[in-house]
Amino acid sequence: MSETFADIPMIDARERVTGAIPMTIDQAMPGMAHVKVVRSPVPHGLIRSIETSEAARMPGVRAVLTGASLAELGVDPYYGGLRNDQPVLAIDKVRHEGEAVALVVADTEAQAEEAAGWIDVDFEELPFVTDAREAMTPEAPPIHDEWPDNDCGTWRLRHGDIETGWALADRVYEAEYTSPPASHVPMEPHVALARFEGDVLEVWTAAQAPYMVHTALKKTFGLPDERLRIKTFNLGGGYGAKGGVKIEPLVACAALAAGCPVRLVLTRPEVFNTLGKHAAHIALRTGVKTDGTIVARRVRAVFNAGAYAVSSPLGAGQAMTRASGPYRIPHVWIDSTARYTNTVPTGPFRGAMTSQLCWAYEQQMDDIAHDLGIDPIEIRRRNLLSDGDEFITGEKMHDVHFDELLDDVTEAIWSRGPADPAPAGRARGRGVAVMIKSTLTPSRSEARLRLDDDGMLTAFCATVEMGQGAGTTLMQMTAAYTGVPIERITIPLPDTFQAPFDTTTASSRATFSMGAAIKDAARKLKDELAGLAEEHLTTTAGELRFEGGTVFRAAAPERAVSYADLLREAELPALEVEGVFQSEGGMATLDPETGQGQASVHWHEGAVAVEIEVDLQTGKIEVLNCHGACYAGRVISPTRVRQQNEGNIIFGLGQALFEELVYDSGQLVNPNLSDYMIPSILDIPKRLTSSAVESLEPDPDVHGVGEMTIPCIAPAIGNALFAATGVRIHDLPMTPERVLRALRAREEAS
Amino acid sequence: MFPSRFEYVAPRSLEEALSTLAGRGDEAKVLAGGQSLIPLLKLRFASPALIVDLNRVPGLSYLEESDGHLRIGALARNRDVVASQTLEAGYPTIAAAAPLVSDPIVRNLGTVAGSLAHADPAGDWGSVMLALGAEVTVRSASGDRTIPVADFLVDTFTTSLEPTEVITEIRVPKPEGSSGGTYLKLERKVGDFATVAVAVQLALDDGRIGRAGIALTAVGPKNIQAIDAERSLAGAEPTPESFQEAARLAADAASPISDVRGSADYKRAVVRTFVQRGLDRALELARAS
Repeated sequence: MSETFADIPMIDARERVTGAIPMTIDQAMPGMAHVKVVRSPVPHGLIRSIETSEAARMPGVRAVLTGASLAELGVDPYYGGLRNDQPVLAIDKVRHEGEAVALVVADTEAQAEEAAGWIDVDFEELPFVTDAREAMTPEAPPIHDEWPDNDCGTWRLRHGDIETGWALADRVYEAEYTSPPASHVPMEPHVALARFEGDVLEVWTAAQAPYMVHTALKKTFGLPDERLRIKTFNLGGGYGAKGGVKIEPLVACAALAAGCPVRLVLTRPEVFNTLGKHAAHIALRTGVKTDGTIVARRVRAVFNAGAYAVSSPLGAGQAMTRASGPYRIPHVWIDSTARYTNTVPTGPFRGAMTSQLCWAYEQQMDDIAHDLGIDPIEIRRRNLLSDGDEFITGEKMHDVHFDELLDDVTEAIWSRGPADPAPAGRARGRGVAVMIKSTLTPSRSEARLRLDDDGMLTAFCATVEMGQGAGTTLMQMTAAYTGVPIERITIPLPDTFQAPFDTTTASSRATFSMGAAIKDAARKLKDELAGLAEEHLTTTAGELRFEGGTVFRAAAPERAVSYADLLREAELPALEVEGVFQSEGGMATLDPETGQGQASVHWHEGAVAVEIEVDLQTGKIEVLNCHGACYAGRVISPTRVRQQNEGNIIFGLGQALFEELVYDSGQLVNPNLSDYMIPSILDIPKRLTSSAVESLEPDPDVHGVGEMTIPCIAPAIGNALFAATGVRIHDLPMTPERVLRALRAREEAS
Repeated sequence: MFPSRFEYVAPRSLEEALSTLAGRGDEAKVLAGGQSLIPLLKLRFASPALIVDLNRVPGLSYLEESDGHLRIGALARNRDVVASQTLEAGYPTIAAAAPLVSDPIVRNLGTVAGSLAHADPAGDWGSVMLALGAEVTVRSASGDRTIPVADFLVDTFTTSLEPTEVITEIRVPKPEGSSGGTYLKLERKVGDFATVAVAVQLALDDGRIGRAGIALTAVGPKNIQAIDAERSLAGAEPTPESFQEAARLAADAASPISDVRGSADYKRAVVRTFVQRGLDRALELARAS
């Protein structure tokens, strides 16, 4: 049976707007001191010495810590989910400008900052590399001794036979596309508090994955589960920046060294120095028949991992499976690699390892269409994956709705007839893009439901609310699955002492995975309630119903008995059940030589169409109309799906049009919100709309919707620019200067 | 970062403020809207020992027309200029610039006078006031003086204001006869400093160009008055050729640097485009007026 989900606004919308929701940055631990970090001014260098004695004598200072002194604390100084390569504080060597080298704990933030200024680090500078393709060359400096050629994850996919593919092709197209490094810019910076309370280490942190922090700190301190407690609050944005483990080991080490509770809030430049988006270089070669059918595609993708692995060894593989787009292609050859460089480490970034590729394959699609004289919408229709098609990983596709998405977005933008004529000196055009993205596989979500004998239900889960509305959406699902009215449900903030395991709130997986865990738990809860209710349900006619906090047979609703009464009769103060969702397969199970296997539990699908106006004398692009669509399987909250689709587009407009982290001599030159800017409410398109495509199946998978339109926005604009002017931009962002130069170059050529 | 320690006074009258500055002007900074000063303090680019907050001084928030001038009081906020209904007809350059100054949050507090006093070459008001031929009235304990904006703006973050003085008023002469003007700004996104901006003011005298004012934002060490371009127009016919020539001369007057907002070449190209567009628009308004 398919449940009904009553859409409700975010339960704490008012508190969010008035600033009353609990956030980590507002928390304090009694008696806490403050941490300041000393960071490397050089991109690559050996640490000759660190002079800390002056700082240690400064007023209010409780502890000074360096990489060398971590050993005295008896902690494991390295962390990292996939490779254990990142030191809590630099040990012997720094690998990027802004890397943490030392820390000071003092009574006040001002004292800590003052004292940090007295720490004197002597570096021996080493040659550095900031470009990932340069990092692959034999001349490049090795950044980690144990990883030759700076390899941070290399994957290959071989599907069909590429030579056969080229032989079948009537025409072959080749081009290169690049994306620069970018920053997530969550409004709330990274912040964490830590204390040793008795023999328990307690860490409160603005993190997307409390259990990844838990796993990391277990290793750092060698603690058993029951001596480690991680709590998170509402996050002021994550977008991947707060995934995995970030400042928590450093903050916990500071607490241990100082012997008191401590707090660290990163400054904005430090946030820029903590994690960024993978810069990428994509070389794309595509063979097609004259009717537009794609028969072969080769992709060479190089990603900039920055100084530490974080998620890159896996990310390069995820990128591989997404590199050829949502198309049916018989012969595919993909090489995807991430390389260490002396830049800020990179990791998950809303639309991760997808946007960089969609920017390439969707723009090339329009070039092919143009060259063959085929309509850009039509050429996609001829190649998009359908149910039952074989994907490049060899898996058989199911739940595929690309045709509907394409129809939806093009209808929204093209249905109004030809574009209005542009004012003098300007040109208008329309463009479309479609994308495919895997979700994190395998992954696991557990949920615990506790029904009290007053009829109140508490759902313990480690899903993190970061503004996306997961808390409210999971509440809607809990209500629908358990039959408990929504106003009697509470979902406490994540606390590993209460909430069972969850992999992470990322990869658009929370609603899907945690929703499924709650559904599993609810099924068990209802089984128990049905058992308790047996004597009340004198008839066996009609199906068992769980509604309004009561259970009854459909044929005899007058015999309904409340959950609370059932518990009280049975003298049970509470009923507790646990539910689990576990997906199998994923990147680790693919054949390492061919990349064949089950890469994702299901595939995310999205599309965007835009209409733009470009100023032909300044090159400035203005997005007039924009419509995005995602496949949602089943919509739980139409409001929040729309907000995700449109929030994606606004977020992605920044990387499409102006966001770029700029390095000069290994130094990040714009780590502040004056030089690096993000879109605001005043930058959004004049008309911005979206939709969600749902399955017609009786009980479809719920699909995550957190990233389905972001990869499409830049190539859709690029295609609209091409339609408007005939110029093609290969390098993001599409700044006015790049556009104007392309326009002038074309004038000169003709 | 935390600002360095400073002393703070909030005088209740201009006299009180001026007497404080008379004694300690060298170590003081005057606070009006604070939209530039506060970030400077936070980043420790400025570490004054004393902040003299003008916000409790009454009678400085006016925006009014009298004796042939628009008079903008020292505490008139950008927001007030945006909201003013009277500027559109008489001062279209000001009306065009005001909503392009930063974002609504900054405009709520930031003042026109404070923007001039800060003398950021990327500030919008410097160019507008240069194009309009405005003057700044300043006062110290020993009296008033009036300084043309062209002399007031000396260099990057440097004005001819003495440490003992405060700006009391900006005086914009009412454009005479058939006139028009506008402000064009290229920004990466709403609220950014200009990549390039241009202020243009044009008066027609019997079909020919009378006074022309052209000034450039964010393409030099200070707001640049494009004097050669202005001179080339004075007395000329308002033709596409004369406008093109003025645009070329204005682009020559720019001395931009390459930075995250664009290369020097690109910025110069935009100056040329904007001057030409601005003149077209100014002429259109002048003919309609």
